[in-house]
Amino acid sequence: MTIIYHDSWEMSERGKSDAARHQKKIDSVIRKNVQDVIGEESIITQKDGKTVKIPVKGLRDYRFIYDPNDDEEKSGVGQGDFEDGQIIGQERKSKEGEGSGAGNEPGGESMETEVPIDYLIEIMFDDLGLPYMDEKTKAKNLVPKGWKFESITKKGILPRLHKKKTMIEAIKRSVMFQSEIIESTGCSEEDAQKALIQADGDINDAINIIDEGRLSGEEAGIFIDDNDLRFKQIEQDVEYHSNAVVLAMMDTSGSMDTRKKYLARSMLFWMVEFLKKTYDNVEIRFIQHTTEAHIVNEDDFFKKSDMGGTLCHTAFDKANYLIDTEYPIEEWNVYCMYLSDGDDFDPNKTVRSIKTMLDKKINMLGYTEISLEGDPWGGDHALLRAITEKWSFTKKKELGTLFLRNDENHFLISMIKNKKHVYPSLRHFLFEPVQKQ
Amino acid sequence: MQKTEMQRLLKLEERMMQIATEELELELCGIEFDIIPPQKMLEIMAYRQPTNISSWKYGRDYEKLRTIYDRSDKGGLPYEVVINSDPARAYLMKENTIAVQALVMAHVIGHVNFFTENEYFKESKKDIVHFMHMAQERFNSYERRFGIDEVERIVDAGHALQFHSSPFEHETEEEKIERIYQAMKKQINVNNKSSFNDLIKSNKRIDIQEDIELANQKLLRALKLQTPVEPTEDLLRYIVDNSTSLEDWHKDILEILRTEGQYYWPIIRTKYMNEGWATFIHERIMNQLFDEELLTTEEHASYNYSNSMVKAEHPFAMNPYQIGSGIWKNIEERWNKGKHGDEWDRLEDYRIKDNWDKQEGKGWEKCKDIMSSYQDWFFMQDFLTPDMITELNIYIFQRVDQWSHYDYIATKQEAKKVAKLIIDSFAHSTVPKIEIVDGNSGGNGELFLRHSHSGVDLNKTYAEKTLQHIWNLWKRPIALVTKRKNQVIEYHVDGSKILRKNKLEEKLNKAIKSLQQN
Repeated sequence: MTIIYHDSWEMSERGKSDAARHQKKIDSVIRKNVQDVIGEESIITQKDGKTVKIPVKGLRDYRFIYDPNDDEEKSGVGQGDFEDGQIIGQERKSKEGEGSGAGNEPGGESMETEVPIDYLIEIMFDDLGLPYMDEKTKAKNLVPKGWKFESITKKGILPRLHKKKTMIEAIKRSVMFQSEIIESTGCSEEDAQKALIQADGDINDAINIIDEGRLSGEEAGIFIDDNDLRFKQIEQDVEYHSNAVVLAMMDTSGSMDTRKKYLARSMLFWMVEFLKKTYDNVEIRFIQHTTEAHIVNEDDFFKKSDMGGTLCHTAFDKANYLIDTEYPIEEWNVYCMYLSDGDDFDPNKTVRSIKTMLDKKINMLGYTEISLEGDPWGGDHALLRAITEKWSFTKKKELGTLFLRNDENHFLISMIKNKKHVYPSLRHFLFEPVQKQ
Repeated sequence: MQKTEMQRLLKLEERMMQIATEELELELCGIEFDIIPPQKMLEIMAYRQPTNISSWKYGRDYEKLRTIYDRSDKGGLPYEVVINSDPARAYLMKENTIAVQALVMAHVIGHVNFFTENEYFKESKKDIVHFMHMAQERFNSYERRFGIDEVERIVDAGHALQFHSSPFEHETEEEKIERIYQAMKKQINVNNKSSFNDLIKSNKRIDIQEDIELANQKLLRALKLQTPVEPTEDLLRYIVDNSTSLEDWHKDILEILRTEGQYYWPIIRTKYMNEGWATFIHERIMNQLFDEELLTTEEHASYNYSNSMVKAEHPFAMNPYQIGSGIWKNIEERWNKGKHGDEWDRLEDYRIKDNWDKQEGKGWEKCKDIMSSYQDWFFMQDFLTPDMITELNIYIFQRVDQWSHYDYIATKQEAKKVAKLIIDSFAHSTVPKIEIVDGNSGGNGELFLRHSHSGVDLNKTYAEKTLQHIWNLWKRPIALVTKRKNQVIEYHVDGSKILRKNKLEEKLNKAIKSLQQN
């Protein structure tokens, strides 16, 4: 029996590279199930963590195994001092139980994977961007993007030491010195290295050491001379960007029940996260309305809501006011996004407010109608009918729902009937490819 | 690591070996301990052993372990890997305290003893590390030549089936044919000689002899046409030998994974016994080291903390370390006090049971006996008694639909019923018995599999996915017959197409149809 101590076991990259393989598989599963992933309700509630847990199917080690409850019933064996009937755990139910299996079932092999939101956005929307963007000449924003390394110099401060370049210099010089030492003394390469280190890099000293046989037990290696040091010089990196603002408007009236509100928030959540990640300088403002409209902060927008009747025009009036006072159209790219179930006490007034908005030549107006099948409140599409009577749209039917566009006025409409429509809706509005710098 | 620490470890190791071999009389082979950094430890755990092939699975497990480790209170939970080879190889994590190192070393001694004495390990390959190292190089070259995806498809299928190849099965298909032929042919000869020989004239005898030879030839031909000649559990062996769609390099991969599976075959089938035994042994050795004051009081506290983590109860799972060692302790106590046999079994009064002691003193002997000859299935059948269910706090939990969410609720049920349920799920020591019955079913090359149902159904999703893995190797239709909810059903897989047929329903439908027609 023996014990062997490995101080520096060669660190292989196996674990990491196979983990990357696994990650690649997860990516493709996420891509395939993107509609389901986006619709996961937990994503919005977990937002604070900046990562989300999503259930991923198909990454298990399949073998023949026993398990009587792969259907509805779930039971199992556990250990502990519990009373009869005591609750030992809980599991969230997904709102639309489409057999996705909520994922975090206790006891079962965890099928969830934790993914940063940014990463999800990257793989789902990497080809998208805000449409109809103009170069606003009047005011360009200087955006500090961070620091970038410009040049390599011989002088600098230690934290900016360029290790690789320094090593290369040291090796170049050492090789030169060594061959000189070997030439003049006839010693071995290893001894030449040792002598150099012993002589603190002084070549004459090193030759003397060997000639006089003063070589001590130094370890062979590369000696780094002050002259070898190389430093990085840095400069501030700036980029020029157009100003853009997105006004997110949402109907929170009584007819918008929990399920509709959730779909509306899910839609806007992804849009906001996408914009934040893709554009360095996009402002986002949030407006909620019932029979009157309020400007709220992001947190309240995604968490709080009022009750009451529905006057959609109030939201557009509030947005128009914001454009006039804070985001003049000559300086800003203005995007407006409105979500509602289409129930409106006064659709004509809303159409007039929309016309005022479009006349300002904003970059885009998007409207998403949340219209669940069999919904007692909705279904009469009051607002949508009023809009389509006023403007004409090209229609596209896809995945059992409707997408409209009017390119002249930059007016886009989508209809969401279930959570699978969130992703195609987002793609409907964010169709322009991002200009990659 | 400091020299003094190393010297202490060596000293502890020496004493442990003495206790194990001389006092506990455990058979052992040599053990080499490597002290390694945590990152390496997690990698070996994820890969099951230090030289395994590359796979997304091991990457996934590495990520999982790393996340758990990063978030854990480090140094508490003892990580442990031991390889069944000669000498055995085991790993100690550099960051651990002396107490935890000692715990792991003592635990490893328990495992190595189990490997050495348990009869299911008698056919184990003792050079698996070298074997997989050689394989790794070839797999890498296949990946370069044929692409990762293509290699992965074969590897995943191999992994899905590799635990179904017993290391104790050596007979080839030809040998089986010969054995069966000899057995069947002999009968004809025996009949012939004993009853007719003396009565029949010589020329008639030749006729009969010819008839017999003809019949035998016919029998042999029939046997050779039957594939497999008798049902076989060695799924990979049969598929590699008989699939028409496998290339040589596919076969090479599958052969390697089959051999690797044979290494794991006894490990999987003795998990509770083995982990329980190692825990049982490490507690014994450690307690003695504390008695002898080779470890300090502080180290005792640190050990107690780590040991309690090893044996922690989990509300949604069974802990093999805790349950296994609990059963071993129970066996020892029962056979020390004579708590077994008919008289004992009939006892119901707890006061009598608690005070029962016939001073038999055969506990340790009994444990060693069981350890060398059992696997988990029998272990659970014989020793997971209703009393143990109560003692180990084992319960059944149920998921209850509460409309907005699910509650998981502990239920107190009759211990006897709980024990039966668990024992059933240990049938064939958790690897279901699946046999290939026909490799040319219906004459069109369909592979026909049969599951010997033993109380618990197969998981439907897993079964279907596994059949698709088999299809990737066989490339012709696959069928599996099993029982589900007490009804015979058949799974049919052809490519990505999956069909489930309920045999009873089919029969009913047929009957209804014929009734309608009449």
